[in-house]
Amino acid sequence: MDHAEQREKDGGKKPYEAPRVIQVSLRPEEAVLGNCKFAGVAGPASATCVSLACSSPGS
Amino acid sequence: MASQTLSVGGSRGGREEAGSKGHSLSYRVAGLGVTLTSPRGGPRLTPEGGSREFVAAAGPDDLHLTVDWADELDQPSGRLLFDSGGVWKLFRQRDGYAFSFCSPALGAAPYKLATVSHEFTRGCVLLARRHFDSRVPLQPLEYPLDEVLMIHRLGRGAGVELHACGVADARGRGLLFLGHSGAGKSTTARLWKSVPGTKVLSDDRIILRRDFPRDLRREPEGLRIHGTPWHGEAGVAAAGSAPLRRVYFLEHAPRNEFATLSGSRAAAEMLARSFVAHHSASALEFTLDLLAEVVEQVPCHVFRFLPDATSVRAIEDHGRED
Repeated sequence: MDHAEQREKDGGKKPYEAPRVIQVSLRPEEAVLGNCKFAGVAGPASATCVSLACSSPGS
Repeated sequence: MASQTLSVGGSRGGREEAGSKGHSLSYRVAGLGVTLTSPRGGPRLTPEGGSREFVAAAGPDDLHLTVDWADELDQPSGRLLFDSGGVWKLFRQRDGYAFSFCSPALGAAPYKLATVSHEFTRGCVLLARRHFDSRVPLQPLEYPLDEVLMIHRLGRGAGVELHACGVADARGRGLLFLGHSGAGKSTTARLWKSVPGTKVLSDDRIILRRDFPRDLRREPEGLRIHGTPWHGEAGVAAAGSAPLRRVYFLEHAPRNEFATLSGSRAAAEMLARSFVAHHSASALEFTLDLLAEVVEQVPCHVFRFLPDATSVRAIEDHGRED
């Protein structure tokens, strides 16, 4: 049962969820769109740039 | 299913041609229109890659950019707002923002500079002439400028771009499969492409927006996922959209199974797979509100899956009660 179904079961009242710290996995190198996603699609940056174009894909 | 468009035009609109007044290129992604215009003697414009699917007839613009050559470009003088650690940096300027693009391979000076107004409605893209072949048509918003502009525009109350594969299934329901690189988005797209009546919107980037009715005086009616030009390994970039009905977080596994997520966990996981203007408090606040709406309205699950056709059947069975 997901939380929306639980909420419906509880008559529309949002179930209490105690505060807690959770950790999620981040991929900052992907999230900032900093580099070339694929070789050959980033114009002059990829035509001559080995270090940027392929070593750190943006996706 | 709402359509999205894309137009390439010469000086008079329509087909791309070297007109006496210059060139224009228009496209529409997730309902947002962007038009580029280049003066006579300026860069010749053409769509590239996945953006071809989104070329549109020139229409109302959400963002209008002029494009031209520059003999030399300097780093903007304004305050540095964000450094991507890669090719682009964002600066605050008196009359708006400046995105500067540099590559170690090309020296310290920018090879491209994009300035936009405070409202993100108008701007200019300058290309350092010596780094481009002026005889060859180009797409001035080539990755990552197109996406960078889009995520900043979306963060101003328009929506959010997600690292996800999106599918409109045979019943027209929008299924969102989120994942970091390697999670199985392109694999999922390939599997769903062979399902009759199904349209895969993207294998890598989906834009989520509130679903506004045609009558703009009415309140939004749920949420809608849109295809984008920025595809992944499967190369799927389709203009189209669907109402969001299910959210899945992809994980590879030896068998297909689902796990329920709490709302807070789902929102946090979704934020970790979104593309937002991290330097902007208002953009982050808007994005968090939008993701809270998602987890309130749409069932969210972890989907541990086998990379074969059984995973498609598992999803179809899982959503059968909708």
